[in-house]
Amino acid sequence: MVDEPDTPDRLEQAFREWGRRPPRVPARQAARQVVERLRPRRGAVATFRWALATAVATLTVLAVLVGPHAPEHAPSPRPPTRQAPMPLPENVVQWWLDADTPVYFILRPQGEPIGGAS
Amino acid sequence: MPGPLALVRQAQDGSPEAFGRLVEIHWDRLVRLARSVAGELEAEDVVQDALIAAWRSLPRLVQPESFGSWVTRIVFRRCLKKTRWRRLRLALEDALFPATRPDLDSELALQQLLARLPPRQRAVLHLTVVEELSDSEVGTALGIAPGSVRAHRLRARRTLARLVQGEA
Repeated sequence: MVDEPDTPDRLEQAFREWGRRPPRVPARQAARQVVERLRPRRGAVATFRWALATAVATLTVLAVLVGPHAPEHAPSPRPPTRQAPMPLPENVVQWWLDADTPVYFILRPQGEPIGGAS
Repeated sequence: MPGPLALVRQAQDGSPEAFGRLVEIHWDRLVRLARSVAGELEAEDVVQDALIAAWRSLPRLVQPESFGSWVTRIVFRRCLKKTRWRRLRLALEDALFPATRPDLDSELALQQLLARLPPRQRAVLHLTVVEELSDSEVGTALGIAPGSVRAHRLRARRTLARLVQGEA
């Protein structure tokens, strides 16, 4: 090319030889090292499910705390009409949004991955 | 043995083994590029970190057939980050110590000479001279237009010619 001055041939030759030396760590060993450092990816669907569950839980808590049925602002004038308490499994927590509306939280057993299988 | 495209798809689906095979395929050329841009000492660490980042972003790669240039861009951007402070140091050295005519038979002198080029120019020169890629391929690998590839190479060659003649 006319407008590209040639760097001295020796320089490009030296650069080519220097640049083509093999890496210190061979490819196979590097691949092993990289794979050991990989963490399983959470799938997009699982991520969405997890985000949705978190959002619902947050909104529920907010609704309880600052909503029209918040106990400090508007205590329910009528006596609670709760049904007789049902025996609940150990991993289930029951909340009452108001006197007639129970909310059940199912706790994840310890060790189970967050968001389920991807 | 699945081909490279099948390996990319398997890796996108979460197979670390397939990703390991891809690392094996691309490792040498990625390290060569990182060595030219980020320097000998940091090259292999930079490439490993870039590959971990690539694994995390892999599901978002829309064209699996462009895996090679995509991962090259990730490595190149990591190299740019690594060289940020070194460029400042070199600018200071340039101001404090006058350049002397380099000895091209010395590997160290060659590295010092290349280190005086901005990283983009080093990358363009590397992909052109060492890997012998076309301007279009270099542009795709670095995420720049072929016209910019030519401009970077022109400036790199001018600078090197000046440095080799000991005029800088």
